[in-house]
Amino acid sequence: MPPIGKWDFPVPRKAIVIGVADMVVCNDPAAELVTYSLGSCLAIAVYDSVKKVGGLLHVMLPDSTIDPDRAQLAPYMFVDTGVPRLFHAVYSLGGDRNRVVIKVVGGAQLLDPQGIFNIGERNYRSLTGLLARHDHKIHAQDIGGFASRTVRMDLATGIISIKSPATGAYFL
Amino acid sequence: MTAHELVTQAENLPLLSHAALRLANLLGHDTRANHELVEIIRCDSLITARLLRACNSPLFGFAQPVESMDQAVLLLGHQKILQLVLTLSFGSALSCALPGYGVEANELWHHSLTTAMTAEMIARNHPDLDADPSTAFTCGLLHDIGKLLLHQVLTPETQSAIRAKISERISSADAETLVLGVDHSAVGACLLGSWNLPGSIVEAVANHHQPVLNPIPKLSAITHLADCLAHLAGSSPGWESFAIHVDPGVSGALGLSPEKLERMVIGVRDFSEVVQQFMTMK
Repeated sequence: MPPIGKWDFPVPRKAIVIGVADMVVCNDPAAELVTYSLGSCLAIAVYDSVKKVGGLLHVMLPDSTIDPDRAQLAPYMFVDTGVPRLFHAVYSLGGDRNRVVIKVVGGAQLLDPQGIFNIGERNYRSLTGLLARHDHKIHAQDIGGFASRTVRMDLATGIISIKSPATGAYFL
Repeated sequence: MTAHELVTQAENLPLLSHAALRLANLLGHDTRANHELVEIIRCDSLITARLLRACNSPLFGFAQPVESMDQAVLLLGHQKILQLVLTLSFGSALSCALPGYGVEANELWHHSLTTAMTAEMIARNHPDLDADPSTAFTCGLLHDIGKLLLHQVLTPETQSAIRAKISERISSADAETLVLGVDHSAVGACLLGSWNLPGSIVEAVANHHQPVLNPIPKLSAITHLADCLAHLAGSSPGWESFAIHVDPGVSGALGLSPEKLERMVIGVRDFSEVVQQFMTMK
């Protein structure tokens, strides 16, 4: 019988669930952040591997000017009001802007040749424009397609795992 | 395989009470007496119990306990009672998992109910379409009911073939037709027709992926838009669930712009959360 502590069991991770139009930033390396039902929405993950602090934001729409009152109540619903809060929260827990790694998942698209329903694409364009204005680049992404995704961030490593009904887990 | 063959040969048709079907047939009739509704509902003790439980839940928040069907009808009104009974009745059929579609338990019910509330809102906000909001709600609730039957004939081979078509940017409904010879819309419409549901509901379910827009948009157009909005608001179960072809005429016919659509998505997201509360109601 192996001594106590030598059992080869995976340690159950504490899962912190992020809803739609929500954000969590955390520096507990024993935890993971998870968000479900990511269709045309975007999950934006920011991680500093030195401080082991990470944040996950689940935004739904590109631009808060369509409903400023809602943006006051739910700033994480929109790219333009949610993303700055995500970065500030990561920095407030010791994250460094020169170290943070940015990963983006989601942006599924309906088949709409007119583009009116292509909220996923508008979300992505809004995000890339905002990041470019602040000299940030996306390090890895899994964008578009037709599938709804579940995204997990391992706070010990910053690794993102992605799952959809059509696939097993894959990593970013 | 035709829709008719599938419906007549299916082994596990969704179980629905006689009361639910009689109530669905009352939709669209202007003259509905209180006692007529109460009598139909009271014949089904399960629905009566579930309805009273729903009425006494925090979702409605009545100050006094609701103890009888008469009281429930007076407090909620005909439309709400009809919607609630249909929701509770079809809920058990729609809440099963559909592994052939990659849909887990309760996911189709969540999507159907979110679509129902959205369709009702669209009908209410577009009086020019002359669509009864209560009927629009039912169309949304039942739009994917054909999947309950079609998934029974899906095999690993046909699932792979459908997903291969989708990867060529063919919509999931068109891929079903190409691989199986029929899609879930046609099967659902055939099933509802066999239950003698009103023709307007059968039309909406049959055409919810190819809506009728002329001379004025029919209920299928409202259902089509509501379905797309529910997917965009996060209620999007199944494999490649965004492989839906948006009809190019629907934006013009219903006066949609990107901004208007995004505002609607916010409202539908709120519906989706109400649905979640309803489904987890104790």
